[in-house]
Amino acid sequence: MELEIVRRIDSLKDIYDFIESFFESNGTEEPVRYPVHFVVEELFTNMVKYNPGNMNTILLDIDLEGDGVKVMITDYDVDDFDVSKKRDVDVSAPLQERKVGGLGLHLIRHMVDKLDYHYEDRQSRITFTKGPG
Amino acid sequence: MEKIHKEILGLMGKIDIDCWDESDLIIVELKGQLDVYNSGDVDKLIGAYIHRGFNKFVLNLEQVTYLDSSTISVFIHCYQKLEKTNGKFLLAGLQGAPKEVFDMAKLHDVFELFPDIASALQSQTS
Repeated sequence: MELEIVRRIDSLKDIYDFIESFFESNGTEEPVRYPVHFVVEELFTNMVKYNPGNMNTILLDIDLEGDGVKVMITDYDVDDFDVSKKRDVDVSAPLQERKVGGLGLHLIRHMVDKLDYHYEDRQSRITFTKGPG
Repeated sequence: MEKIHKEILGLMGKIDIDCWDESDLIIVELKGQLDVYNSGDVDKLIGAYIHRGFNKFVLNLEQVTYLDSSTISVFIHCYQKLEKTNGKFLLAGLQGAPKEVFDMAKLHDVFELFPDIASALQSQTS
């Protein structure tokens, strides 16, 4: 199932409805639903935040893969930024010293089973899988 | 102070917020989903109480079924603001998937977390 998304934060509601409709049709279990919503919200929000002037739409593709799902998000005419790369987020720092930036990507890597990033000709494609296990 | 009730629409549904005071503590009870659409409202609400001179908060998250990184940002922001005035920002009743998010971010050992609202309140009287 594919959805072409307008690059603005308000599109998150359309994304949520689209993913929920996919989950309902396929009887997807809760251990998959939460992380998929979380990760897509996080990635899409970053795409809007860091490329506000880009007028291209973003493509969201979700399919079944085994007992779980495979999600692909394609963004056009963007700079290279590998979300699968491990970054220094000090999750052991005291709360007074915590910086919020990077926390979302840290969480994403821990929530999915597999996270891939592909960049070519200014087009980025993020693919992740999440199963119920 | 009068008890306050607010319903704020979010991405996945809504968040119900009930606030009341118990001596110098503000109890904030949240029910529903916290996301990028409505987590900022929680920040504003707590900011308004801080502006009125309150600096001790207990958030009851027992019935929160979803929270995202924007919510965590709000919690960290509130904690940091209150830390400067020797305030308190206690979280109670976190469970299920939202608790797992906290565990992944290793926030379970830096925030003051309590299994329920009663034990959070007890910690402030003993």
